[in-house]
Amino acid sequence: MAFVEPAGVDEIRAGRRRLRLSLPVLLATLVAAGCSSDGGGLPTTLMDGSSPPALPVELEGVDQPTVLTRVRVVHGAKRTPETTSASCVRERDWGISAAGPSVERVGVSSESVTFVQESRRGVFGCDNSPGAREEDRRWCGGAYGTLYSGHLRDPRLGLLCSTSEGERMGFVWVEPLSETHYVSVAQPGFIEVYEVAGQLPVRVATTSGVTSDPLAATFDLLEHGANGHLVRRYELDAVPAG
Amino acid sequence: MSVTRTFLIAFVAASCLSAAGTASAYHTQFIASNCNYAAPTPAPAITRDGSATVALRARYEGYQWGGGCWNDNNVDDSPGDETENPNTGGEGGDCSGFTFKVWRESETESNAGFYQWGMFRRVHGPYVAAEFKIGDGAPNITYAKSALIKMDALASQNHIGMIYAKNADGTDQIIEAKGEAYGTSIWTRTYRGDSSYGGVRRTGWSG
Repeated sequence: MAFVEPAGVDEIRAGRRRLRLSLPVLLATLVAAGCSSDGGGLPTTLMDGSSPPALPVELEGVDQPTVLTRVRVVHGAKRTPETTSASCVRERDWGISAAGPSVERVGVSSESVTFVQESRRGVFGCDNSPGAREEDRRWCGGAYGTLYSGHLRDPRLGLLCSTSEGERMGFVWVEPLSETHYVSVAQPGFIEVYEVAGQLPVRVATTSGVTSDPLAATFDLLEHGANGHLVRRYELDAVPAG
Repeated sequence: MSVTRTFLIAFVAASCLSAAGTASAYHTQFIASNCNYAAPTPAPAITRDGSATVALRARYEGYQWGGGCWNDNNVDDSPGDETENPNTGGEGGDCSGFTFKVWRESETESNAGFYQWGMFRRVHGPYVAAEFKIGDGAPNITYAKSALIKMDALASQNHIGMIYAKNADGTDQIIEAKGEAYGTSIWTRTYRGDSSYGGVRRTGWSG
């Protein structure tokens, strides 16, 4: 399949096929290229160009600046064809039905949708980033994870998305503890914060900690309660599987 | 007396810990003892029959979620691992890792070239079954199920297997890394008639 490079990447890497630039990718890339920071520091916009929401609490034990991602819970009846959630189901050809709400997230350099399967046997969804993708696809990655007694045994690492600079990104599902309200990921120079929503695993992304050979990713994670108290801090190692 | 008792308690505790350590370490032995991370060798395009030969070396070997290395002794050297646990360290690939290696693909998804991975090289590749299903990766395309031939694949959201041979009744002999309880082998399957499965083709075969 043909790959598409984002605007701003002016060299075609060896071995890549003919590039076809799509409008959504171009827009996302322009947003990302403009985004992001005041002088290389704290990002000031999310991947869709919007301003990050204000974080209403101070997170215990976090010294670096924080950026709160945006989250939207979409109930099944409202998943009209033009929604982000519907585009994920349509494009990735899942062949499975979703139940309950879907959770749409927009981070600094990432976007995701998460569903639970109608049979409750698994969760599935799509990943997106400002980087290259195949043809004119809306999403650069997708994941399915089997649930065992309602839980994932594997975080379902996705590695097909990249930054606007062409660096590989990693996406995983995090299963927060019951008292967790915020899941945070250490990014270069800041902490990206995701709000728990929809009683679904939280799809988070990292732009660092991804190794190319062997393919793997390490996520530096924190979980905090609703009032900002630290619940736990840990590293999550993930490999592509299944 | 108390010294003797203390010694005995310490001895028993140490023995128990040792035994527990041995048990928990069991699952890490195959990869730790056998596998490597040697670079792949760029290879000319191979034939479908050549790819089938690569696949047959893994027949009767094990299955490891997120794994990707095996020997050729026709025995699953790490049976009974927990399902979908990437940390059990056992022999074999999983379904998508097995397909990646047999199709001799690159870890860089924009590269459609052929790469020979050693049998003991632990490699999975970037694709999971759901990504193969929609033709992610430069070498891979979706393909009409009715037109699939030897060493094409059938993929669902959570499984992929390659066609070893077509049966007269419309079913296929599928060579696949099936699961921890089954290992890797050839089974007659009805994926072609299953709506949750789509056809996938690795492009670039030399014949």
